[in-house]
Parts: sequence; structure tokens; C-alpha cells
Amino acid sequence: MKFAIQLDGTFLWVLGCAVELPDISCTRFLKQLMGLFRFYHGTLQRTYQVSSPEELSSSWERYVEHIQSNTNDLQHVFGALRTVDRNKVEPLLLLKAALILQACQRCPLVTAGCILYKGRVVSSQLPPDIAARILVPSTANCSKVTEDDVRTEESEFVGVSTLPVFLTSIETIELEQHPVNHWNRTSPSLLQRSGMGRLRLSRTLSDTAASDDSIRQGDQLPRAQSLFESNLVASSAGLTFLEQVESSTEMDYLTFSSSSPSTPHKSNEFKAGMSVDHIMPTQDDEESTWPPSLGLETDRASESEGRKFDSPKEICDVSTENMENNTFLKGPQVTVKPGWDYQKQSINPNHFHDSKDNDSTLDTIMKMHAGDLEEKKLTESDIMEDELPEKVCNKHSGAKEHSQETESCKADSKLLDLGDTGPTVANVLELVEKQPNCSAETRVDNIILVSKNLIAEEDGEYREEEQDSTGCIWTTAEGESYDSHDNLVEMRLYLHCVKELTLCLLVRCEFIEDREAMEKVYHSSLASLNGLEVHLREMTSGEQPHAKGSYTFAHYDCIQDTLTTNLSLAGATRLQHTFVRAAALLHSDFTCNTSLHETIVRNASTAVYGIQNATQETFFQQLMAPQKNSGIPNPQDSAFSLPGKAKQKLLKHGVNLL
Amino acid sequence: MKCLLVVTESAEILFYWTDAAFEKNLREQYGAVENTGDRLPAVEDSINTLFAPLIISCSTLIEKINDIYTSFVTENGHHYILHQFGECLYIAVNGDGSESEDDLRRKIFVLKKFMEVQFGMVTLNSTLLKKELRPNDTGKRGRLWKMLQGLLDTYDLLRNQEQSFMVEAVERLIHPTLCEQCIEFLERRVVQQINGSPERAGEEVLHAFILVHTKLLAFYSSRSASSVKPSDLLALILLVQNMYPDISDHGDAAAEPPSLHTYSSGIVIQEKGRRDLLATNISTPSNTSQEDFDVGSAPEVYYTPQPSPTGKKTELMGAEEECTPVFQFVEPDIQMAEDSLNILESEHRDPAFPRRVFLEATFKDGYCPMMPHSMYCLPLWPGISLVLLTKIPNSQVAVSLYNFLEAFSLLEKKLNEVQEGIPHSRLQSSLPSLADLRTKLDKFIRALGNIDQQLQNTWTDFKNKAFLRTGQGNAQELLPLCRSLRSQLCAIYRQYFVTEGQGSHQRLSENLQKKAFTMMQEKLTDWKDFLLVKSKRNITMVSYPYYFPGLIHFIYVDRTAGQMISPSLSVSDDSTSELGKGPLAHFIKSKVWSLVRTSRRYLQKGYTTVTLRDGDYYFSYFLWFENETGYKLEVIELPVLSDDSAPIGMLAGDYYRQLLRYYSKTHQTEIIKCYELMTIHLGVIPPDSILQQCCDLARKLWEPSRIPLL
Repeated sequence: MKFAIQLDGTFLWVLGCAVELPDISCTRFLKQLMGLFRFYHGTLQRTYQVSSPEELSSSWERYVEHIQSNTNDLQHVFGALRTVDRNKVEPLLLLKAALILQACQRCPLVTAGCILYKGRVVSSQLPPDIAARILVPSTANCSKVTEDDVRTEESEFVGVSTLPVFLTSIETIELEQHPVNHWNRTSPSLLQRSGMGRLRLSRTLSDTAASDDSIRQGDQLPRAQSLFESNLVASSAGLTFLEQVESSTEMDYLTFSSSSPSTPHKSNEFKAGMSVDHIMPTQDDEESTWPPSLGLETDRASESEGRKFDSPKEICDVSTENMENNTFLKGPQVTVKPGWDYQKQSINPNHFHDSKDNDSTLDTIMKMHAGDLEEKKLTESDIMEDELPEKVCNKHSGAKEHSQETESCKADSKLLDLGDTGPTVANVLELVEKQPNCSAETRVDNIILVSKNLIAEEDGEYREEEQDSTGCIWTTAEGESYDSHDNLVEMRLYLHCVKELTLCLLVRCEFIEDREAMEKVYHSSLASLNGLEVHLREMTSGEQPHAKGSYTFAHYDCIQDTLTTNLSLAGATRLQHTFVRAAALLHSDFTCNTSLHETIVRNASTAVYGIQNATQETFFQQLMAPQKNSGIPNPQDSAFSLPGKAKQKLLKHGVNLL
Repeated sequence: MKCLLVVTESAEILFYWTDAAFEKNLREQYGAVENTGDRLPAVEDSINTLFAPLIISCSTLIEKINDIYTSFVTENGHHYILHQFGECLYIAVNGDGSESEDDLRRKIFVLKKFMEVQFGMVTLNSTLLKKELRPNDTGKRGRLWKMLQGLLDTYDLLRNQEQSFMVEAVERLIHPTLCEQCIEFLERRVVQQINGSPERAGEEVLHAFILVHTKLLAFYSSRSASSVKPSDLLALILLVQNMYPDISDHGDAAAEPPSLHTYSSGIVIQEKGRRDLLATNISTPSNTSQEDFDVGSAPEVYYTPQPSPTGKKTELMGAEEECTPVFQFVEPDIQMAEDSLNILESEHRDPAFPRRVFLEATFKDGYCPMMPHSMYCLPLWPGISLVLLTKIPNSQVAVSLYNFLEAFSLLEKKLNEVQEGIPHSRLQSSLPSLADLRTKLDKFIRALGNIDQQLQNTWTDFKNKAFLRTGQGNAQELLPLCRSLRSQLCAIYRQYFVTEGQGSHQRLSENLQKKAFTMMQEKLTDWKDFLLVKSKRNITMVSYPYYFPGLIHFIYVDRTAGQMISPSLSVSDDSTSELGKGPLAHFIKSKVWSLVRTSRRYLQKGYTTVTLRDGDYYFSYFLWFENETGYKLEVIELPVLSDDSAPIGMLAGDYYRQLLRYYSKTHQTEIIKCYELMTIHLGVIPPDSILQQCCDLARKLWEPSRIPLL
């Protein structure tokens, strides 16, 4: 037996594994288990105070079972995310799934999501580790659908349930910095202002045709919005999108590159209690148009309020928000708007209330970038290798966003000297408490909505604030120091099951209170989900066991955390067993030694070839009867032809080793 | 941050070894230790406190589930390896990341090997071993521990410096002509003369060999002797290195110690922290005989090669007066202290007094895994030693004892089976040899005389219970008697060969040793400097790139003979090697070391061929079997071992021997040979060409002459 042990406050996490499992897989499993538990229960301390042992033990059983159920030994070694077989599914379906998710994200309360089919990921916007956690309830919940969930409204939302989940602040930051997040996100105020209250959020393949009316409506929208809409249509057509985006960017969004750095500054202003309303009144109002705790009436009220400021300037601001990503398509652009510059300057000193010390800020940003990268790749591959415009766009936006963030971060660090001492989160929270004039909770919430492009640390802190003010934050009993693991952010997991298909969305707590938002998300995705389900069922129904090839391979993508293999899931043959063993050994070697590039290991019965680079590991084994050999170096030895064979054979699996 | 610990289940420390960093850490953790004479026990106490929780937890595990931890890694990267031999728990710790788990496990097994060489079959009985490892006499304990600690230090050093100790195979000095001459000389002059002399006091030289640093120049075994196992030979080389460390190589390059005497000074320098204490605590008996020996036998004792940082050796035979090292004229009492330290280091009161070692021996009529030998180490010059292994007069007792021990363990096993359900009546039939054993043991006890009354009593008791008229022995009654007999047999072994060996004056006469010493010195005088340089540059890579372009380094090991061939890889800062100087050379060296580690890990999992492309280099490892004529035998599926199995090696563990045995099962008619080849090439060389080179290299090194390119 082999145990991975982790001390967590007064608790001890222990996971026992089989001795054959590499150490790294063992610790990885424990981390996974810890993440899983924390995701659904919050901190251990609190859970064990609140929940009964029976409840917990049943959860434990479920989690452990889930971790153990990882189909085959190879999965155990890599612990990768299970995805649908991309080779079997029509690329367009993957695109559709991705679009459903993007559409849902247009509701600002929706952070990110993923779509699962039969317990496998079809499309995901989530970091792999979070997506892996979501697999657990989806498999469990879909069977019993909605019966037991109190928040389900059977009448209206069939198959929908929500669960409270907990994320660490780092994870939240990663989600918030999601490029897709900004892309396609529609400001609710905009929708309302333009009288599109019932506008469906989704523009996917199946319902594009049906949404002509909304496009027509789009004509009444500010130019930005209409363009946005038409972009979507174009994207579903998959043809001229890129050109449109490019042209539209050039024409309309040239001036808004400063939006991302300036937005946080503005938000900070709020927190510090220094009203900037006089500077940017429109912006402020606009933000209040999606107050989570308010009903439809408030929305309308703010809508009308918003109309008052229907000036060209405002429109620009609005489009800034909407199209932040598009602006990234153009390189670093000069800020044209004097008003924004002014604001930026005036607020800088206050801004540094929030910056923690430099190092940690940079640190988090690095992590965040990594997260972004992950997201980006995930989305890319979801949309498949076809030269679809989305892919290109995302790539661009991601990259540009990075540069922007880095810039803003640089600016921050430079300015830090001028600023006062960087308070810790606790200080910031205190600050909020001490500022009665810091408007209302709604305002704090709004800050969240606005500050999509906050640099990481700030964002995290805002989240703190928000959660604090809405009473959703859980900190551990001993949470005296700022440790991302000790600060959990409560969110909700929105699950919408359509037969075997599940739409999982990470949403803010307020989402479930907000009937309208929920309705929108529900109705806009329902039809597409049904369609997707039917297609997926058709495609995977004829599932046959993997055809016996003359080779076995496993391709592990470290970034996406996915494993592609032609190893049959059922009882492995002896040769396959040796393959798994070799892969386990090589995998742990690759992990320990990053300069290691290629390896061939051979015993009497088989030879296995392994190759790694920064993002992926590939293992290849030829299944033919081994040639008789003595083990003495011999250039004619078939084992040494493996690299060439692997390169050649794996091409058709989409694995390029060249 | 290294530590190695042997404890009993009741947390009594039987032995400990720490490096300076660990000791410092201990001191910081448990407060400064007063600089009094109690320093030793203080460290011991802190270690005890530090490890007590772990040991208690292990004991509990053993009690409850009869299993222990084999290894764990703490959050701060400290590695702990635990292993239990008998009732002794071995714990190896590394806190600086310089050793892998395999290294730590290896160290544990090496310590076990040292103990076997030191205590022989006493190691088979935990109670006796405990007594042996932790003598009640503090002074004796201190000496013993210091000796074992010194061995571990030497091992640690050699493993990191010498390829031969890294791959655990003996490296020969490649000079066929001289080697042949030496063997002939050893046979005709040295061994024959000693064995023919009446002064040999009943001893008989079985093996004689010459070491130049860690490399073997010539090895001669007399016809009657059984061969020396490679692991034993490696352990012996280590012992010699420990007695006469090669300071010039590994320590301060400027202070090349010139003589036996100044060697001891060198040790004092190394151990300066302990010097005062030891000098005052230990009396110095028989100091005179040592002086006599030194002065009388070797005028060369005073010879000092000029400290030459460039490695240039100048002949200074005639200039001994001018170059007398300063150490020679130290005050008499300091000299005495150093001498006593020397005595401590080698644990012998007298250099002419042999060291008792226990080596495996196979005879026509028997086998003994730990046969007592006397080892005489005659340091011809610094770095060059003549080693004589002799058979001691009553060594046959050890063979008998081993046979009895074996018989009783077999009996015990059978009795256990009986207890588990096989009917009692079958006891006699299942042990046909019991009657035979009875007569033999009766005879043996008679031969021993009244040495051990206890054994006799227990044996009588056993006989009474086992050979009943009814023909039935009660297994339950016999079992404890069996165990008791075994431990008493071990006790006799201990009394005969371990305890006795320390006190008696059984040895080749000094005169005889002196004669051998002088003869050998005369023989090698002209070669001395050549040999010393040669040992550093045994094989060089100079001619290889021509035949094997792109080849950077290789190691070729004959696992059957336990010998290795490899270009020298001495990376010292003052001399340039073929690898160049400075970081690159160190880098290559570290790569070689890591290649060996990697290949071992794959071999443990049954892979006989491994190639790795790592950075700019291409590594390959091959293991194959041949029969005696050089015909390549087909590779078979090798056993897959668990991570905590005995390390792959020859000094630590017995892997290759077991491997050969395993392979022989399918090839019983042939003599099996096992070879390994490791190479490092430049990564730009195409793999095909690399393989071709490996193939050619293996063939070249195999050729009957076995002489690599020089």
C-alpha cells in the first residue's frame, strides 16, 4: 500500500493507493479528492461541524467510487479528464456545444460551464480540475434528475437542479479571467434598453434560423450590439466571420483598449467610497442594471434610468464592455478618450488599496495566465481543428488580453511606490465595513460585473468583498493569513439534464434567486441541448469496442488534462498490461525530468516508446510478436524503429509527433 | 543532511551514522551540547528523541499488522527509508535531496554487508548481533561505531567519486603485462614463501591482491581456495580504502600524505573534532611494536612525493631527507595520540595484526556464506596496498556450524509445518536427516570439548524430547529448543571467530609480513609512480572518438565476474580530463550517475534495454546474456520487482547473482554470463549510428584480450 497524506488544518487527508501506482499519481488522486470534497462541501472544518457523519460517509463513498471508477489502469496513471471520443463526434457538434456554453455566459451571473454526455466532457470552459469535479454529481444526479433538489422548480425548469459549490479564490480568478467570458457577453442593460428582455441568449446552429427577428431587432441597437449579433450569426455560418470581426474592430472599437485597465480603477473608486459618478455617471447606472437581488421591476427601472443617458458617449462605453475582447484583436492601442485617462490618473492612488504586495500579485497573475491559456486551448480544441473563426478569435483575444494584463500589472507595480501600504484582504474587508457610504451591496456586486478585466489579485479581493457583503463567504476557523485555500467562494452549480446530456454551469449565488436570468439561460439552451443530445446519441449509439490495431498508444495532453488512447477499456491483454506499466514508469520519469525527451524501453516481450514535450506525452507500443533478440545492441532491432512508426501511425489519430 | 540508524524494536540505538549537517541540525534542535567528554552519548540521545515516535510507530505496526513502512517522503522533501533485518530496524534519512530513495536503501544494504563482513554469522542472530553492535563497554562501543561510521563515510565518498563503486563492480587496472608479472610474483614469491614458512602460525594465504587506490592490479588465489565473490572483493577494497584513505584524490589536494604515519595525521585532520577526546580517553598499548614495524620494514615510509597539484609525479627517492614531511617531527605525545587514533581507526592495536573478515567460501564438501579469514593489509606506498587473505586454523568449525544452523532452521521450518497440521507421526519420516544430524552434532560437541556446556545441555534436552522411544517428538516442545540450539550455535561461532579474534595473537609472524612487504615493494618500486598515475587515467577516451564518433562515455560491466571497464572520469578541479574542465565535466559526470540510476530503475521493472534522449545527449543501456563461448542468448522475461525490493547491485543486495541464477534455470547446461553496456552519445548523432556503435563497442570490449582502446 502507498499513502498520500496531507495536513489540512486540524484534519489529515489520507489516501491509500496500490503500490504499483506511481507516487505522482497517488498525490494527484489525493489532491483531486480534496478538491472534490471542498468543491461540494466547503471547508472540512465547517462540514464536519454541520453535517452528520452518515451524510458525509455517503458522499465519501460517492467520491471515492468516482475516483476509482476511472475505467482502466491507464486512466489511473494519468488521472485525466474523461472526454467524449473526439474522433467519433462530428466536429460541428462540438462547436455547437461550445456555442451553447458561450451563449449561457452572456448572462453575467454565469461564470463558466461545461457540457457532459454520459459522464464524459463534450465541451468545457472550465479548468480541467474543476471540470473533473463536476463529473461527479452529473453522473449521480442525472439518474434521479430533479426530485430531491429543493430549488428545482419542476413546473418550469424540467431537469434543472442547482447545488452549492465552493471554489478557492484562485480558482475563481481563473474562471473570471476566462477569455470566453468576455467574448459574447452581452450587457444585460443593453438588452433591456433595446427592449430585448426576452431575447434568447443562444445563437446556435439549430436555432439561428429561428432568431431572425432578434437580428432585426439588432438594427435598433447601438451599432456595437448589432454588429455583435451579426457576428454571431456569421460565426454560426462559419464563413465570413473573421473578416467581419476584423472590419468591425477596425471601424468601431479602435478606441476602447483602455477599458480593461481603467475599469478596475473605477471599481476601486467605489470601494474607497469616493464616488466617481460625476465622472462616469452612465457607467455607474449601467452597472446597476443587473442587480442580483432585484426582480424584474428593478431591471425595468434601471433600464429606464439607463435610457436617460443614451448619449453617444455612453454607447461607446457600453460597447467597450461588450466588446472588450474584440478590441484585443487590434494590437496595443492608444487610448483616445480623454475622460478615461483623466479617471485613470485621478484614481491611481486609491487603486493601491487593493494591490497586495507586488510579488503576490505577479504570482497570481502568472497562475491566471496559465489558467487563461488552458481555457483558451480547451475552447480551441472544443471547436475542433476545422479552421473555424472562433478559434482564431479566441486565440487572438487570449493573447492580447495577456499582454494587456501584463501591461496593467506593470503599471501597477510601478505605481505601487506612490501608493500607500498594500493592505491584506482582511484590511480591505475592514475598509468596506468602515465605509458605510460604500453604497449598497448591489453596488459592490456591480463592481464584480464591471470588472471583468481586473487584474487577478484585485478580482479575487472583489470577490471576497462581494461574498462578504452577501454573506456567502466561508473562511476556515484558523483563516488568519491570506491563503487561497482558506478562502472559499460559494457559487452554485446549475445542472440541466437532458437525458444523458448535462449542461453544467457555474453561476453566482444570486443566479438562483434571479428567476429571469434563470429563465433566460434555461430557455435559450433548452432547444439546443435537446438537439445536441439527439445528435450525440446517434453518433455514439453505434459504439463498438476499439478495433484491434497493430499498436497501442496513449496521448496525454498535460494542459487540457485529456488522454487519448486506443487501449480498450475492458480487460486488458498481457501486452496491454505491460504497456500500462511502462507508461506509468515513463510518465513519472517524464514528470520528474523535464529535459527528458524520448525514451525507448524494452523487455523480452515488448518495447514501448515514449516522447514528451512541454504540453504532451505520448506512448506507443507495437503489438506484434517480438522478434527474438538477445538484448545486445543491434541496429536491426525492431524496437528502435518505434519512433518512426509512432510518428507515422499516430498522425491519423491527430497526434503529430513531428 | 544524512543519517543512518540501526535500532532495536525497543528504540535502543545499536548504531548511528550522521553527516555534519545532520548533527548540526540535531544540535540546533535539541540545544547545544556542552563540549565535554560526553559528546557521543549526547548525539545519541538527541537521535533517540528525534526518532522515538517513528520507531514506536513502527513497532506498533509490526505488532498489529506485522508490516512496517518501507519509505516515506515528508513535505519538506526529507526521504526516509526503513528496512528491517531480523529484529533490527534500519532507518536511512536524507534531507538535502542529494540521495534518492534507491541510494538510501542501497546504503542500508551496504551497512548490512559491512556487518556481515565484520561479524559473520553472528548477524543471523539478532540478540547476539545487538550485543555485538552495542557492547556495554562505552570505549569499545565508541571504537566499533567509529569504525563502521568510517566505512560508511568511505562508501559515501567512493560511491560519489568512483564509477566502480557507483556501478558496484571491480575495476581492474588495465596493464596486462604488469598484471601478469604481478600475479606470477604473488604466486611464486609471496604466497608460496609464506605458506611454506613455519612462521605462519597455522594460517594459510588463500588470496593475495594488489590495489592501486580502488583499482585492482593483480589478484592471485591459491589452488585450494574458493573464489572470492565480487561483492566481498568490493567490500574488501572499501575496507582498505577506509584504512588508508586516498586523501589526495578526494580531500585537500595540496596535502598528499606521504607515509603511513602521516596518514594517521591526515585522519586527525579529517576528524579533528573528535581528536582531543579520543586522544585522552584511549590508552595506547603496544605502540612500540608499530613503530618497530614501520621503522624496520620500510624506509620508504619517509618518502614524500612533492605535493603536485598538476598531478605531476617526480621521483624523489633519493631526496627523502630534504622532503621529510613536517608531520614527522611532531611532539611525542601528539604522535602517540595520533598513533592511538590510528589504532582506533583500524581497530587493531597493531598494524601487523590482521583484521578478521568473513567472506563467502565454497568447497568441494561444503559451503559457508561467512567463512572467517584474516586480512593483512600492507600499505606498500600511499595508494598502493598488498592485501593477503588467510585461512585461520580452526575455520572448519565455521563450516560445521553453518551446516548445523542450516539443518536446524530446516528442522524448525518442518516443525512449524507440523504444528500447523501435519500429523506428528510424520515428523520422523519427514526428517530423514535427523539421525545423521544427531551423530554429527554429537561428534561436533565432543570435539569442541567443554567449551560450551550450555549447548551440550540443550542438545541433550533436545535429544531426549526428539528421539523418544515412541518415535514421536512433540513439535511444540521441540520448537523452542530448536531456536535455542540455533542461537547457541551462533554464540559458539561468535566466541570462536568474533570475540576470540579480537583478543588472541593468532597471526602470521611480523617477520613474515615484513618479508612479503619488502619483496613486493622491491618488485613494484619502478612501477610505483606509473601505477599511481595510471589509476587516475586507467582508460582514457582519447582514441575512442576516432572509432566511435560522438561517443562521450561508456561503462561496460561483466556482471558474472563483477568487473567493469570504463574510461576514467576523474573530475578534479586541478587537472583537465578528456571531458574538459569545470562545469561541463561535472555535468557529464552527474549525467553518468543519473543514467546508472535510471537504468537500474528500469531493470528493476524488467526492462533490459533503455534509450533516453535527454537534452543534448543520447543515453543507452543494454543488458544481455551470453554463454561461455560468446554466443548471445535470447533475452527472457525478467522478474518485475517492487519499489522497496533490495537494490539492484552487487555490493548492496545480490541482484545480479539472483538474476544469473534465474536465467540459469532455463539454461542449465551452460555457464551464463551477463553483461551490461551504458553509453552516452551526443544527441545529434542519428540513433541508427549510435546503435551500430554500441554494437561495435560491445564486440570490441568482449574480445578475448578484453583490452579496451588505450
